[in-house]
Amino acid sequence: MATNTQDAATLGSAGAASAISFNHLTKRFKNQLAVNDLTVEVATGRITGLIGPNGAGKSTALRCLLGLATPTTGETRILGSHYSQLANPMSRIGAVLDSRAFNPGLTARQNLLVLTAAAGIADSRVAEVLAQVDLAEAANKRVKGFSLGMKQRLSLAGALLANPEVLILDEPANGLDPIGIAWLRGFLRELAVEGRTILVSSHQLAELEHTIDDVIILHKGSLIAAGPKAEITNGSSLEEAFLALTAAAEAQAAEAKAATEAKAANAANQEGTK
Amino acid sequence: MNFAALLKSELRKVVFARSTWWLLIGAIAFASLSTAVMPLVLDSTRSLVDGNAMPGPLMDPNMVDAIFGKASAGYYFAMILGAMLLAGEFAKGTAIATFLAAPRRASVLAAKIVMAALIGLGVQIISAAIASVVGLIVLTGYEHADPHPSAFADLTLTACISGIVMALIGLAVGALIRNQTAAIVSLLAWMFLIDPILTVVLGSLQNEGSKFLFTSLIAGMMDLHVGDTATRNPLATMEFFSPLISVLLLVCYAAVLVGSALVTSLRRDID
Repeated sequence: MATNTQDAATLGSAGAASAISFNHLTKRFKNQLAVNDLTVEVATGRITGLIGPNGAGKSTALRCLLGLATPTTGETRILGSHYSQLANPMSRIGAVLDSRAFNPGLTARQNLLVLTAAAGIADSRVAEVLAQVDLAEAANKRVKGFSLGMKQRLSLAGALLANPEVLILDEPANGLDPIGIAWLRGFLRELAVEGRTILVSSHQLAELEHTIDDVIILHKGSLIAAGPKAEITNGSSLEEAFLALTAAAEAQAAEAKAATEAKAANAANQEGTK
Repeated sequence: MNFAALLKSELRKVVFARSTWWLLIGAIAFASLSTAVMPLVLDSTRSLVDGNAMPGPLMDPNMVDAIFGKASAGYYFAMILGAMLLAGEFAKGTAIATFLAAPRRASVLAAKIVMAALIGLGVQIISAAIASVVGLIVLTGYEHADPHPSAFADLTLTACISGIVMALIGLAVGALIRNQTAAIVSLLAWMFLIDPILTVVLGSLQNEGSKFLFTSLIAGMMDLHVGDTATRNPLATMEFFSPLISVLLLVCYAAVLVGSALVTSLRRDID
C-alpha cells in the first residue's frame, strides 16, 4: 500500500482482516493537539511499527486504543470492539505501555500473580512466562533491584500471561543495551511466527528496521504514511524514508500556513481599501 | 470481568505489600500506647486528702470503659491504608496495569471500595484486640473498677465502624488527589491540624459547627454502645452529637467523598 495521509489505510496484504483500527481519532489535551484525526488499520498476524519522533502522538494513540485515555473525537477498535467492552481483554490482548508499571516493592513473581488474579489466569503461567523472557532466576527478586532491561522483560512477561493473540508494545526497546535489543528483535519475530498481531511503537528506527512488516508514521499527531515497510522505504533505509516523509510533511504544513496567512492578509487589505 | 477475580487481585496487592504490614504494626502500636498511658495519666490525677489518697478515677467503671475505648485509636492507619489503595497505584505506576487488566473502571473502583472496607475492618479488629489486652495488663498494676459488661462489645462496634468509615474516606481522598504523598499529608494535616484548630475556633465562638468536624464526630462515635450501660465518655471535653448521629454523619461524609471519587475516576485519563 502506498503512503497515505488521512484516508483510511489498511496495512498488510490486500484483504487481510484488521485486528486494530483507529477511526478519525483525535485527542486534545487543553491547547495541545496530541493526535489529529488518525485513521488507520492494522492487519492481523503482522508486526506493525508505529513510528515517529518523541511527541508525535504514538503513546497517546495507544492509550486511547487501550481505554486509558478518552478520545476527544473518533474511536478505536481492537478485535472488533472497544477495549473496555471486551469481556476479559487480557486473555486476548497483551500490552506493555510502561516498564515502570510494576510495584517496585514486590517481586517479579508477586507482581505477575496480581495480574493473573485479576484476569483469571492460572498462577502456573507466571513461571512459564518468566522463563520465556529469561527472568526465571529473578522471579523472587524485588523489582526495585531490576535493571531497565529486566523491567522491560518483565513487562513483556506480563503481556504474555494469557498467551494473547494481539500484542501492543510502547517503546519496548527503551533503555535496552545492544544485547537486549537483539534479544527483543528475535523475541518479537518468534511471537510473530506464532501468528500474533504485534503493534510496536518506537522512535528508534534502526531497532525496528529488521523487525517490522508494516509501518505507520506519525508526525506532530498526524498520520503521514502507512503501508508495508518495503513500499514505504522503497529501497532506502527506514530512517531515510522517515526523514524524507517528515520533511515533506513539514514543507507541506509550512506551505499551508503561508497560504493561510496570505489569505488573511489579503482579506485584511481588502477590508482596509473598503 | 469477574468481580471475585478483581477482589482476589486487590487482596494480593495488599497482602504482598510490605507497607500494609508496617502500617498494621503502626496501628497496633498507636492503639496500644494510647490505651496503656491512660491508666498512668488518670492515676496521677488522684488527690490526697489529709495524707490519704482518695479513690481515683480508675475506680469509676465509666472511666475504665473509656480507657478501653482508646483501643480503637488505630483508625488513622486504616485511613492511610485506604488512601494508598488507589493513590499508591498512581504513585508506583501500577494503575496502568490494573486498568489494562480490568478496563471497566467502575468494577475496579467497586473492588477497591470493598477492599478498603475489609482492610479498615481488619486493621481495627486486630489493633483494638491487641490494645485491649495491653490495657488489661497495664490495669493490673492499679486498683481499678471492672469495666461494664458491654465495654468490649462497644469497643468492637466502634473499632469496626471507625475502621470501615475512615478507610473509605482515605480511599476517596486518595482517588481524588491521586498523588499518594499529598493525599496522606492532606488527611493527616486535616485530622491533626486543621480540624483541631477549627474545633477550638468554633468552640470559642460558641458555634455548634464544631460538632460537624471529623474529630468531633469520631469522638461522638466513641460513645457507641450495645448494652444498657451507656454513659457519656468521661474523657470528653465538649458536647458531641449522639453516637448514632455521629456515625451517620461520618457515613455521609464517606459516601459523598467516595461518590465524588467515583465520578472523577471514571472520567479522568489514566497516567
